[in-house]
Amino acid sequence: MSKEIIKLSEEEITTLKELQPPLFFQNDFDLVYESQVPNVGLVFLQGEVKLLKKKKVLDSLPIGSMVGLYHLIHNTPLPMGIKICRNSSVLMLEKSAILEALSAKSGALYQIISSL
Amino acid sequence: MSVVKNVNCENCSSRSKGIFCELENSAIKEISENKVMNIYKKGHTIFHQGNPPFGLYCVNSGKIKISKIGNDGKESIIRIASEGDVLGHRSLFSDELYNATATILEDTAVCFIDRKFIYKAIQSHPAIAIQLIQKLSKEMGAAESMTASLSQKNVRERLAELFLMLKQSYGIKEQNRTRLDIKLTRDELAAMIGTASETVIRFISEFKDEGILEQEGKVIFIKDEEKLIEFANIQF
Repeated sequence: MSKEIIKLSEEEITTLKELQPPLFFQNDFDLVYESQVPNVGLVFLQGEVKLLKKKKVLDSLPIGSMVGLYHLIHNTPLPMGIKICRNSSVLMLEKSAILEALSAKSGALYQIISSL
Repeated sequence: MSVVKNVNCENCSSRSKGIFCELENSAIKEISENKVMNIYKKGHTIFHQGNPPFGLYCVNSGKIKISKIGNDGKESIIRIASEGDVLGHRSLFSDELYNATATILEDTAVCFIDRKFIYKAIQSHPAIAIQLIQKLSKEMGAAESMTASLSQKNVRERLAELFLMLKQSYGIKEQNRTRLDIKLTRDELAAMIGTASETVIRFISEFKDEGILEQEGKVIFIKDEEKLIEFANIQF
């Protein structure tokens, strides 16, 4: 699981919030279906995010965790689904911002990615 | 589920129909590097009414139902998206929550482009904006026609018009008839013209009796287009 789920520090979350405003989901949303490449990296802030395997709930994502970044960068399928439950807040880490940070090798996002 | 086979935008079969059709290969390559492609199965949801947008979806292949749930819980199908179409652009650029839900009707390949990148791409390549405006204009025209049809036509005329529209988008000519290359349930047909599925069933039977439609299993064929136009009460 280590490649998939990464616990972020309060400081890292604060930095990411400055780069990307949090999004509030008022309805359930399957961000990633099992074996899909994530469209974005996800940082879970509040509410509930479920991890699914064969349509069954595998686990709940701990608050302050990041998921999908490794598979987004490497364009590989995530071995589980991610469902954002209603009334949840998350941060979406965009591929273009990640590629830009990796290319520039500088900035707050790069510092976080490179420390993982 | 199978592993995603990533298709480069340079080789995308729907490139000529999409919003990046005017771009040179160097710009297309940049888009290709920043997009994420996935295969969605029937019943999967791409985005959900009431949730916030965070990017744009380009349909590579397959069919997607765009529908809206009313206060009464009833579903209205706004349109069917297919290869070359763009989804989520209206909410993304108006900075509003999605006002509809996108549900997969058959296995579909969809590319996602994040908000930051699409804004940057539009600034660098205004041709993308022109293509988006063209798509929005066509969608607005279709929405205006649908509104007029709902208020001015009876159900029989609306159903005939819907079959003509489906023929135009998904019709495949086969000898003396046209096969509709899209499978919609009676409920879905009803949700597209604002009526009950029982009414749709009744009028489909009438169209079959009149020799306008034929059906083999779930596949519908249009046999007599002229009569369908007459039934739809429209002038082409």
